[in-house]
Amino acid sequence: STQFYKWLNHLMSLHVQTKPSNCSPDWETKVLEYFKEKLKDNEAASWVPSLNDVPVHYLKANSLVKFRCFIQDMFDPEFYMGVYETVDPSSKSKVLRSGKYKDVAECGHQVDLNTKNAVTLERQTFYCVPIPGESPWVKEISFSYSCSNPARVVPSTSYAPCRHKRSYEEDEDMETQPHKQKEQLGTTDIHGSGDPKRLETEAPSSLSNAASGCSSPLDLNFPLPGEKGPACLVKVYEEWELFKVNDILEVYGILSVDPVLSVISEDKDSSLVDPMDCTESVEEQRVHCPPASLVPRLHMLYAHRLQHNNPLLPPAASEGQSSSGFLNDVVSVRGELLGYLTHVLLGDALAAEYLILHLISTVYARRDVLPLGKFTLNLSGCPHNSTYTEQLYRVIQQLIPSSFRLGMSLHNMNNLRLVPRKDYTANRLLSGVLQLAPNTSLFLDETQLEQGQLDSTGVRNITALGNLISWQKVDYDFNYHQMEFPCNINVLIASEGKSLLPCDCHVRLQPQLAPPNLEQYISTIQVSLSPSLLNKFRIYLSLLRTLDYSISEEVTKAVEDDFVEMRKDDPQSISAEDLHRLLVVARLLSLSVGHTTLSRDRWMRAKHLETLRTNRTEQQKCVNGNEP
Amino acid sequence: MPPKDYFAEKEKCKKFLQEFYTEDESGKKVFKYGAQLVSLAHREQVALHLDLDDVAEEDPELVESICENTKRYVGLFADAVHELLPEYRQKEVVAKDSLDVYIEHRLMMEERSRDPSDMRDRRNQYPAELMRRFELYFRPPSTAKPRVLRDVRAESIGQLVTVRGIVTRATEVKPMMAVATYTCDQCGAETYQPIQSPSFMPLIMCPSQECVTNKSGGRLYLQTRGSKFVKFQELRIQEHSDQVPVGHIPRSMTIYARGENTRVAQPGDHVAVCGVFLPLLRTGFRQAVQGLLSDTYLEAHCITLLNKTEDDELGAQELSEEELRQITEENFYEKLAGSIAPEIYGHEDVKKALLLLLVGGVQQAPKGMKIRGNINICLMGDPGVAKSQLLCYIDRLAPRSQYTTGRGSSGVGLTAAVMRDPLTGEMTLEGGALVLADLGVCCIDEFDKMADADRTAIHEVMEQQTISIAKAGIMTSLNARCSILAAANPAYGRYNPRKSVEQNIQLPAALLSRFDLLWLIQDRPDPDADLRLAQHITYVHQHCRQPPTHFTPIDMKLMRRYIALCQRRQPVVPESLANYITAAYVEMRKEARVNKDTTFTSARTLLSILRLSTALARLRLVDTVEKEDVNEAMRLMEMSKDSLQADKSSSTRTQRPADVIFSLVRELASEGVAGRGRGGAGGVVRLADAEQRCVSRGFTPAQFQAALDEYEELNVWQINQARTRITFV
Repeated sequence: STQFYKWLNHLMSLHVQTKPSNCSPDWETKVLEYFKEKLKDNEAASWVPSLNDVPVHYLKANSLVKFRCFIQDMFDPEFYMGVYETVDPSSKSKVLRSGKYKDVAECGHQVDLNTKNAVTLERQTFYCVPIPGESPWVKEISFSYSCSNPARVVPSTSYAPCRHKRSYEEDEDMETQPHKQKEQLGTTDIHGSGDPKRLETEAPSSLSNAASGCSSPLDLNFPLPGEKGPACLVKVYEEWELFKVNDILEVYGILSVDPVLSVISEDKDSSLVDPMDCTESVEEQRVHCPPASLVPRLHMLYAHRLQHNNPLLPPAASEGQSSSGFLNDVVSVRGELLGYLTHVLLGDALAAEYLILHLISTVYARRDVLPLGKFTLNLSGCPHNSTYTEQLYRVIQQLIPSSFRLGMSLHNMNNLRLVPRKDYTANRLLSGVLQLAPNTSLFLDETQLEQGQLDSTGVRNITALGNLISWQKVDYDFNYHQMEFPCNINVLIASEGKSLLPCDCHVRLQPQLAPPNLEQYISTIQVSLSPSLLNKFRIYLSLLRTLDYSISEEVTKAVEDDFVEMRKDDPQSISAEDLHRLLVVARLLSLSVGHTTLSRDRWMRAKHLETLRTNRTEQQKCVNGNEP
Repeated sequence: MPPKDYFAEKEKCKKFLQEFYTEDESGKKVFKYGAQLVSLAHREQVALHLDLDDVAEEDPELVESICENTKRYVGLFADAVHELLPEYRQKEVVAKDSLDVYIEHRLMMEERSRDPSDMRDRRNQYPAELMRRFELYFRPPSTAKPRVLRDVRAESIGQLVTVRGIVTRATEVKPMMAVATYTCDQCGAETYQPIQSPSFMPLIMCPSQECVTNKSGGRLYLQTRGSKFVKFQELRIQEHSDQVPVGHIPRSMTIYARGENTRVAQPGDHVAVCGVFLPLLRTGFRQAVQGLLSDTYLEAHCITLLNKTEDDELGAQELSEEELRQITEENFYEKLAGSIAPEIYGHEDVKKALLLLLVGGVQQAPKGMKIRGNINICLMGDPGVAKSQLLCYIDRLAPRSQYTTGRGSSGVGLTAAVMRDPLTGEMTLEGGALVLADLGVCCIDEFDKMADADRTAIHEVMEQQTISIAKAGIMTSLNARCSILAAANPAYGRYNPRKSVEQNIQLPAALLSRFDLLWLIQDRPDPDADLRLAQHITYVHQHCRQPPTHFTPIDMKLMRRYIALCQRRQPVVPESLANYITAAYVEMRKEARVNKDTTFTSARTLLSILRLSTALARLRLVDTVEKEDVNEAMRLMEMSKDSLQADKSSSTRTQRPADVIFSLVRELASEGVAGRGRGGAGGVVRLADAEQRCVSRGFTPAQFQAALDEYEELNVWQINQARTRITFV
């Protein structure tokens, strides 16, 4: 594999520099095909360094890298010279070159712009950021995958880029011994290295550091506050229609960090660049041509849409061999998980049951406006003014690949930008908290809400949350109009009383025990969980989402009769909405034990669960009297 | 392909300009471009728009080449016009501005220096751009469809393309240098530099013969008055939201507008722009750095403002025969109604009413009095009967609509607010939801949750269709010609059968009477309906799609276009029907008096019937209202009343339809006796009359026939052979 990566990189550089004149036209597609074939092999793919794990300045320019990312924005298409001609100044000989997969023409050649041989082509730029809300464990595991043998799954505890960097730099064929020693020096003092090659790759970063010192720092436009990681401009050469905003991708491409790209954006006021010489405004250029060291360019060779970002599962989680094996002990894992969650939910088994259903729910189909399969859970009765909700979120974060906790405090509601908005001066989509990848868990903490005044932003934010929950869509604000973006976000609301937001299912938490120190109690439960079991939980929750599900004709008939029967006795007891919910509960319940069809037993069990739940709410009504 | 002979092409252009003519009604030749050339020559016109449709009539091949290589042909045509202009000058032209004077002067200079011995330096010759005062634009051929922004690709570079979009940014109009004129400080010679790109490198050394031979090193100075400037504006347009595939970000494009095309559009306008798609030439350092990339822009030739409704009308015109047939086939009324919110099961009559709301009745304005044509509907019902979903759907289906909830809107938010502009301190009016929904639908959810004071604010809108404002020194009245679709919960959250209808609704009669139709959607157990509902829901869950119905729902866009088509009809009620409607109304009043009707039957009810029947006529795309329409309108009224009172009837003895029909017919018979005063002959009713009476009460003709047969068997009445008369035994 080492050999493979070396060879791959070599081939890449070859490809970048090839002259299309001396090879057949389908040469390029053949090479790409070959790459894709090779990269499908997990082993080979794991040798490609990942932008997620390795800081940009440790990577070689023009080498093959991969990036697990989230499409935040799409820019306008870019027109570039697919084929251009250069003139050697000394010999005056003309050479045709390919302009694909690079940003800047080779130095030392004069580009002949007026030749007839030049071909203008088009490519699309995506602005990609790391997957928002990705849990730390995902990063750790995928990192350990990429630097160790993929067969071994050991969540590494420390995040050490230097160790990793050496591991692949050793593979460089031109690497020499003295160089390596300097390299080690370089890791301790990055700027102190005198190595020419180092300097070359370091240059943009130090340059930009100096630049960012004097100008305002670049807003990398992450959807969630406090996110870190590289943002990337991914240049797509073919089939860009297949990708959508908010998709998560794994991109394999050629890294481009040419410092020249940064110069354009930084020397704004110098005489070198005339602002009139460009159709873009200053703000726009800041966004569209950020310094390459901060926002590297990635020329896409190959990418696949990820259905999930759980590193413990194979990326294409259709009915793989591993998953079918796992399905056998699904029931036992479910039992363990139920026990674990029951402990976390202070001994409330019913709430734990519903929490499992919620965690494996996903929008599996959409009929016109109606999203099917969503299961928003409202967990009421959470103690106010305690860290319990935070602890609960920690537990969920440990289980789910990506999640975010939004404290619904008045300040947050009035100040956060939840809905993405188009900024026409900079010509980009300003991200908002609700711009999330599919299957992200959004944990709304309503216990933080206090009495007070919501301003117009606050009202809009609450409406957006309501829309998200009821229709699984977010209306992005394009100033002149709104655009509907369907999404698939699991919303869990933790509240004291019933939430002010709509929800599919409301469960009143009934703690069976009251530990004196909540924090300590939860952390003991978490510590006592073995890592292998934790990984099983993670696989369980991600895998079950991908299963197909059907209802047989016979059961359908039974369900219909049941409904009519129930209505006959007491029309108030069940409405169309209740039936919808009941069917979703039955579906999730069947899936949670690995069944892909609905059986009568499961239907009865679902009904039983719902009765238990509604009884509990009724009781609460009697106690409180005024709760709606 | 042999290189084109552009000289010959230019001759073609000239020929076209000179010889193209159209014939007017009297058969006289009208030289369209010849006339324009005259006014161009006299400086009365600046822009010459060449319609490519006209060119296509003469030479279709030329049009093709123009569209492929537009920039070149602009030059050719401009040259042609330039050469032709002196021929078209008929009188002495008065100089309009200093540049005209300059040009005249320069021409004279040239005249004088026509000395073969004194050949002017080529570079000192006047560039053609400097001497021209006209602008030449192409208007796209009508065969060229406007393209979606994302379809304009690299292949389109250099071509004439038409795109549509919304303007998101417009810079101020600035002068842009087209030709720079310099004078030399040594020899005084003028030098000209035509400028193509946004930036240029100024000339420094004088290139004139004199300076070069003398090596005097004359410096050039830029002469602002002698240079030619054009108006220049940069626009940015963005795709319409309906052209963007789901999950993609709208694309945008830069547009350069020069000369007469500037100041046409403002941010927020919907425009169609025809222009040449060109790469931007870079110079200097940027070219070196970004040599591989090129920015592109569209050089505007023709910018047309579209507003959204016009856009929709265009769509309606394209309604093909095929589509029309698809819609207007048998029982299209049911089909159209069923296509409204197909995911919501049942409620056929409500959907029919909503369909009529979308189409709207005909507005009448006899002698300044205005009678609205818009139909207002109020949906009442238990929670969870998909009222909000219906509203949502209508909001999405209507081309223009506003959706608000009663809880979230105040009276001011609905009508209009007077605001003080923070910058200028002036008072401005800001329209609320009802004003914004002018000529559309305003959906108000949670109508009952609105404060009473706020609710009265919309009384005026519902009948007069205007909003009058008298505050802060502003007195005006704004148009709010919108239909109101309201949804409300019964007073106690759920319909309480033990309470009376009034107590359940708890809305003032003044408001209720303004609604044409008031539906109460109740959640009542009914085994059949429940089973069908359950089947529907389980099917959706089982197969992730709609159950197969006897029809496929009509596509939303097609519906929108069809409705727009319907709205262009202005059907009238014929004289012959007037009596029929009057009689029906009198009947209703009478009944209301007997029943102590809760939904106040007033003159407004009559208007409602008229509105509904005109809407029905519109739906059939005809120009006169027919009896069927009136019957259906009355049936809907009756059903809506029924929905309110059904509860009462169920509490008492349920009457079979046949019994009711019988009593209706008997009533009709006794009326006939009283009216005609012919004793003894009583008990004879014309069958057609009886059927009409029954249909207007919400019975189907089938039910009527069944009742006829049933009572004939009982020997209560007899029907003659031709089935035209009913005789009571």
